[in-house]
Amino acid sequence: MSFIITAGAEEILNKEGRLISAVRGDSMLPMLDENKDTVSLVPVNRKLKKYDLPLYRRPDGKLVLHRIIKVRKKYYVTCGDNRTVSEKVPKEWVIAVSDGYYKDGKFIPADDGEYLKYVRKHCRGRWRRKVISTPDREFSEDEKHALAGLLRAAVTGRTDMLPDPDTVDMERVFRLSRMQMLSSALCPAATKLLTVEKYGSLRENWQKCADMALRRDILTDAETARVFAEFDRLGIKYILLKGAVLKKLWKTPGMREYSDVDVLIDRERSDDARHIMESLGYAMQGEGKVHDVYFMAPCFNFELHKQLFADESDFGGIFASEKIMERSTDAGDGTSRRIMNSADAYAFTVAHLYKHWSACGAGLRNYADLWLLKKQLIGEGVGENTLRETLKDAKLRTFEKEAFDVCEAVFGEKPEKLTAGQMGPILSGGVYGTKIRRIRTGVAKRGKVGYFMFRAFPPVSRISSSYPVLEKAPVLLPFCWIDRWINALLFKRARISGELNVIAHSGADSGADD
Amino acid sequence: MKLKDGIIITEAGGTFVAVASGDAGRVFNGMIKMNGTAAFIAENLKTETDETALVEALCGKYEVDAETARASVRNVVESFRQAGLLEEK
Repeated sequence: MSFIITAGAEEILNKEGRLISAVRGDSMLPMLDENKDTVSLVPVNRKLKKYDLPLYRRPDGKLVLHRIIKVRKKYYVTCGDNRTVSEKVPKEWVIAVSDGYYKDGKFIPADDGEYLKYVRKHCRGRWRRKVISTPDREFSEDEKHALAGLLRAAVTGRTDMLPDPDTVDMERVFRLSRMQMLSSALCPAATKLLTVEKYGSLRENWQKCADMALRRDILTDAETARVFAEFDRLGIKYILLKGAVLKKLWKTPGMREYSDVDVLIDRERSDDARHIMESLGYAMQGEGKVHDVYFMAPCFNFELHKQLFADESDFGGIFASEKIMERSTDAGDGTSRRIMNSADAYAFTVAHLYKHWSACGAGLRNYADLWLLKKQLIGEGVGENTLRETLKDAKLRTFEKEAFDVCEAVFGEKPEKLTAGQMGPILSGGVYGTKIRRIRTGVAKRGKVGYFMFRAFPPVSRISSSYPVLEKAPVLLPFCWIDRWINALLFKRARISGELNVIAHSGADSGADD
Repeated sequence: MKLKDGIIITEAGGTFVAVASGDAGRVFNGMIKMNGTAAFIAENLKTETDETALVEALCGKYEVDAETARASVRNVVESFRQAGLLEEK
């Protein structure tokens, strides 16, 4: 649920001590109806707890009012009452909390007994709603094809697969584009297609998304330069990865949305990098074997990678960071920046796509990246054989061929509609797929019993981030299992029941195959 | 008068935009879209200046009379003032 007031909310709260506002959207139904209800907000002066309703500002500047369903050390997990998809919200994003709301002219305080009963019942039903509503069929085939047609126009300039806005619900296509982080990319094609008279408000919303993405891109570039200037000063070698690099393949700034700046650094210098980030005002959000995460308000998220994939992944050895650094070339601009070798860059992009696709699914944005990257590399004279060699080493040839079939269908000279089998893992959810898909993929890989055992008795590598003691004493694993089961039975019964439901109803979906 | 520190002016997709970073970003979290002329004026506003100097600079850069230049300068200055991005003594 987004807010009517965007700029100035913090100032009003600080000055007046309270903000009463109408809201926009349907994500907090049935509690808040945008047509008649208003919400009362006050500055946060206590620890927020589960079921509280905070107002927070996302990195793109948008104000959101969603309910806390989990409290973690450094972030909250929130979800709209009328939504099933949750969101991780760093505590620094929160600017206010609701102390009540006005319904039919009557004020209902946040500690009202009937209200709290509604909240508990509604939140517990979330997983049941998720399974019953079969969210991976939430968007129709026509809406998915419409998105693909718009993306084709955005990436290639070809307008032969554009949807007919009179027969497709373009509001829902817009919603799907937001989930896929493609709303900015599709804005020019969409606003050309949609008339002002009939779709004025939708055009405006679409353009707002594109403007916010552009603003974020400009600010992130400036911030990245600031961070890298310090890395250069201390001679820390680094390679820019993923979205921050791939965005340059797209036509205009801001077109290719991304949320984090991923950087591979010299592993031996990660402590120096940490000191730099903290001196620049960043807070460490997470520390891990693969990467350390740093955040600074309003929207700067850096992932400093010590390695590209976890040791236990299929690609830990092939993409060892020392080998990647060795094969990379100096940027040639007097800085410590290095540029990944073309074959590595392509193979890494394929491997990264495979990692998401095989887990929860991967959005169409990733396929556009692949298409654009291959086109650029071939244009620069990098041979197909060179690209395929590294893929062979990483056992990704079959997957790359299947992924490129999707690219050809959407972006090639002769367009084709994606098949249902292709669309499922790509367009059934957001840019990183869905939890439901993750469960079904897991079942397809391990079988129902195997997946259940994997979830009930996970290895050390899966839970050591929640149980750091396991790093030093892996013999304690059974006790950690027991702790997880008790926690699940006491606090996550609805979620466990939902997951068991999905496992029980999972068919023979295809997982990844190489 | 001058723009607050942290204003980034850049070209994107055929148009010029100005966004605010750092402390200025706390006051203004939007984006100002401009044409090339306005962007030129905005760039000149990054250092301490006044209306007369801006008009002169604009007339020097483009073939435009002082009256038209003054109107453009006032327009741009007012946009940044309303966004809370102008420092005025």
